[in-house]
Amino acid sequence: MNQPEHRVFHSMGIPIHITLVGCSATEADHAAQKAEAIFNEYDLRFSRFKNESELMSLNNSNGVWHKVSLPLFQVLKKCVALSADTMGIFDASVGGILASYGYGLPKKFIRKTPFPTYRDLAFNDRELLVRLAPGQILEPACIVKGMSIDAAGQALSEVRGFMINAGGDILTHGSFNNGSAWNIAIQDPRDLRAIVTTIGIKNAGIATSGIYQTGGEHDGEKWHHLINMQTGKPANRTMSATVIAPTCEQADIEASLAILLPFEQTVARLEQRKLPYFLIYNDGHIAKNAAFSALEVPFDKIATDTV
Amino acid sequence: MPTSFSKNIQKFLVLSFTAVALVVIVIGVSRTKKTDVTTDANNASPTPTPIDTTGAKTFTGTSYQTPWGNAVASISVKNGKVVAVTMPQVPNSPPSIFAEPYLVDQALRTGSANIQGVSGATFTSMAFKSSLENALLQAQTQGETITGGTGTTTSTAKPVVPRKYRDDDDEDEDSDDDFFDFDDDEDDDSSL
Repeated sequence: MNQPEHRVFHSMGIPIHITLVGCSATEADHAAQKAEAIFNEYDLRFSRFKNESELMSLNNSNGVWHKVSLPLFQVLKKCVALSADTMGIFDASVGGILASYGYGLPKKFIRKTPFPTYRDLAFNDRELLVRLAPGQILEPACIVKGMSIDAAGQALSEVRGFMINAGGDILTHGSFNNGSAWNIAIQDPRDLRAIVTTIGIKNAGIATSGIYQTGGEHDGEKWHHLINMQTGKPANRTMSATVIAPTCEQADIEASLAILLPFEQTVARLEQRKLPYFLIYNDGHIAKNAAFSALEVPFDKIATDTV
Repeated sequence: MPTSFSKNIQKFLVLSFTAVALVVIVIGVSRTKKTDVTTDANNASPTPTPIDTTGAKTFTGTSYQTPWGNAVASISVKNGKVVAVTMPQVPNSPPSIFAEPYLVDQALRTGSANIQGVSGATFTSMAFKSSLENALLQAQTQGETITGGTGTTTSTAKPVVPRKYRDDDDEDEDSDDDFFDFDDDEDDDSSL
């Protein structure tokens, strides 16, 4: 059994760690390069912060019809479908609110009231044209991050086993070691150096969404990036939500929604989709389903040095 | 003055007794706690691997704050490997319902924990200071060498087991020249 290969690079503003098993160092280098190229491509297309990104030019289109690429068009359509599904609680128009907090503020930005929503978007499916409301700023990161990890995973499919960890969202493929699952720990939102539990997964994506890492203060009010767009206020009942799904895209979306949606709705949604979940509320209470418990790895199995 | 002298002796005795008693209690509590974990583990999996902590040294880190009070982590080091981490004692948290943090962190992961990744809300940098790291540091300054550690590993009084005699697989760090293997309980299958 040869050693797992580790490669780390930065893209999309986050550290990305890839672990590969069953391949040589040269193959690992090659795989990491391919993955990095894919992340950079997604970053260049969908970044709300990069001046040269396609999203940036759409966000600066200021109320006129704008031609976009097929990938961006599809992402925006997905966002709108998700907004309709959640009665506007999720809305990619959140970009404007985040920008008004100073989190990626474009030049000459004026916050509009009432705030433009997904209903203000207009699409021309044949010509791939999109029209935003004046002052509307889109941030589809919630969907795009998971997509980029899945795309990188596709490119690495010839590697026997790998794990892509993009800033805490993880895709696993194959097995880690002689058929054993990848053991993924879940970070403690109250102490970032600690974990609360560990699960073993193969060929699955896992995403944790939380209000404890991205955020700050604006005019004396705490804010973070997960905002209930029905109210325009940051969601604040769930500290951390972890969801496991066949793809990182789905895991990432559902984890974000688990923070945004009311408790009953979150649980109903996840149960309906039969996804394992693990939620930590602000008072420290946890909610998890049997599907999640079945994946949990006993503590003594992770503390030993024999695999 | 003989009276004040004996009073001092008394004070000293009382203090040292209290200190010893505290240590014993702390060890006792952490043992009990660990048994709990193992029992849970037994329910979850039919064949749990027991941790052999015989001859291991235990180091306690500085306390850190939780919503329910201060918690302290400790690690057990044996042959330069972290063999056990005690769950922190959180004074006022009701058991089981609350997500209790296991203080296994990046420092331990790079040591010997069988964890391949940590899922968390998007982070932009890796935090690296904790009660546990403090415990690791103490272990190092007291003559233990943690293999595959945090990059600050220093070779100290206790010899490192040369790689060819080890059956584990850490390949980074401790590339120091070979020492003689003083350890008697290494279950190595090499024919030496």
